[in-house]
Amino acid sequence: MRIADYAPTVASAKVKELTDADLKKANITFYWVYPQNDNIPVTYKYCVDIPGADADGKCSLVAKAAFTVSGGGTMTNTPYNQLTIDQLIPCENNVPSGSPGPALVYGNITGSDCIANPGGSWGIFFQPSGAPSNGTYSYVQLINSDTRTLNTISCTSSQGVDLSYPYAGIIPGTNPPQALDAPNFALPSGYAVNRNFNATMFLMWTSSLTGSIPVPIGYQTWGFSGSAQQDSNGNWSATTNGTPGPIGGFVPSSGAQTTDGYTTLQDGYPIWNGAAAETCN
Amino acid sequence: MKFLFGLIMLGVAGIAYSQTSQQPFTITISTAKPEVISGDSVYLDVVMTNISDHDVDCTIYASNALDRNYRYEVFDEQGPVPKIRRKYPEIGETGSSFPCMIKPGENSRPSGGMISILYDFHRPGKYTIQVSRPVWGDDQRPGTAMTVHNNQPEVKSNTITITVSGPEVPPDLPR
Repeated sequence: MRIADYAPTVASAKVKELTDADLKKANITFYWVYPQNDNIPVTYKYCVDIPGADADGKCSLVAKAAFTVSGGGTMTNTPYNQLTIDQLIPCENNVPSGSPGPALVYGNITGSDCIANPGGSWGIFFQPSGAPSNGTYSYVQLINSDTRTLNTISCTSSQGVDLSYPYAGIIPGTNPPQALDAPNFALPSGYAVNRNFNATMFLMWTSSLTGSIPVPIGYQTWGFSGSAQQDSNGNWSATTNGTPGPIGGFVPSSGAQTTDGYTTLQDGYPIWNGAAAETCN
Repeated sequence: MKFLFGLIMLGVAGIAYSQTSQQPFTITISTAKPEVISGDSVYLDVVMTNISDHDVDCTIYASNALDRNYRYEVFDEQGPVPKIRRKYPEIGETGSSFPCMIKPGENSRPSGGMISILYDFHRPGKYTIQVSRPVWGDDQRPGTAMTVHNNQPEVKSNTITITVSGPEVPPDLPR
C-alpha cells in the first residue's frame, strides 16, 4: 500500500491517496505504509519528446528495483475490572475546590479532574512494542459510541476523535509512551444513571527519517457498560455489566481495511470529521 | 469599535503577562482552520511550554470535546461572547483526566479541542479567542496543586482570530 500523505488535525483526517497522474510526474512523493517482505517491485522509465524520433527512441530502457518494507509492532492493554464510585474533588474555575463528590468511573482514581492523581488505577492503559527502534509511537482514539441515561434524560455522543490529535492521554514518564483512559462523570443526586461506552485505540508509528508520516500499526476496541444508583441514605453504588475492557483482540492494520467494525477506515488509517461531542435530550 | 476594544484589551493583557518573568509556563494557541462557515465547528490547538527550571503540571481534563483545564475567552464584534447554556446544567458532562508533566524547556502535547461546544460561533463575523490557565500549587509543580497557594496570576495565551462567513445558520442550541 502506498499513499500520498496523511496530515490529520482534530477537525478532520483523511488519507491523500496516490493517483495514476501522480505516477507520471517528474517528481513524486509517496509512502509505503505497511510492511512487506516479499520484494515490492518498482519499474521506472522516462521519455523525452524528441521531434522525429520513433516511439522507442523517445524512452529509456525500463529500470527495475525491488524493495523490502520493514515494520511490525503490536499493542497490549491492561484493563480495570469494574466501574467504581470514586470521590473526586470538583474543579471550580479550573482549580480543585470544595468537598469531594461521587463520580461513576471506569477505573479507580482519586483527587480531582483538574490534577490527575497518579496513585489511581486507570480504566485501561495500552503498551506498545515491537516496531522498529528508529521511530516513535503515538495514538489516535476514536469514540464509536457513548450513551448515558439519567432518569429521563438521554445523552448521546457523536462519533469522532477523542479531544485531540494525537491522543493526549499519555502516562507521564513512559517510554515508549503508554496511553490511558478513565472515563468518568459526576453523579447528580436524585438520578439513576447508566452508561455504555465504546472506543477504538489506534497505535501509530512514525519513522525518524525526515519527511515521514504516521503509519497505523493496529487497533484495539474497548468499552464498558454499567450503572449507578442511590440508596435511601443517598449512598451510591455501581453496577458493572459484563466484562469491561478490550472487545476482541488487537487487530494489525492493513491497507485493505475499510472499517474497524464501528467507523470507516481509509486504507487502514483512522479518519474522522471532528471531535466526538455529547448532546443531551 | 467594541471588537477593536476587545482586541486592544487582549493585546495589553498578553503583553503584560509576557513581560512577567515569574510565569512558569507559556500557552500558545492556534487553529488549522481560521476561516469557517456559519454552523461549522471551531477547533483550537493549545500547547504549554515550560519556561521554568522545574517540572510543570499540564494535566488535561478532556470533557465533551474540550480540555476544561483551560479558561476560554471569546470576543465577537459586539464584545464578549457568552457561554452556551447547557440544556441540562444540573447534570455534569462526561470526561477523562489525563496526567501531564513537562520538563523545563519542553512543550506539552496539543490539547484544546472544539471550542464551539462552549461558545456559539454561528453569527458571521470575526471572533478573537484567548486561553488562560491558573497557576496553582508551587509554581505548577506536580503534586503540589492542593498544598501550596502562592497567589500566582493566571497565564494567558496569544490571541487568534476566527472569521465566520455566511449565510448564517441558526445555532443548534442548547446542548
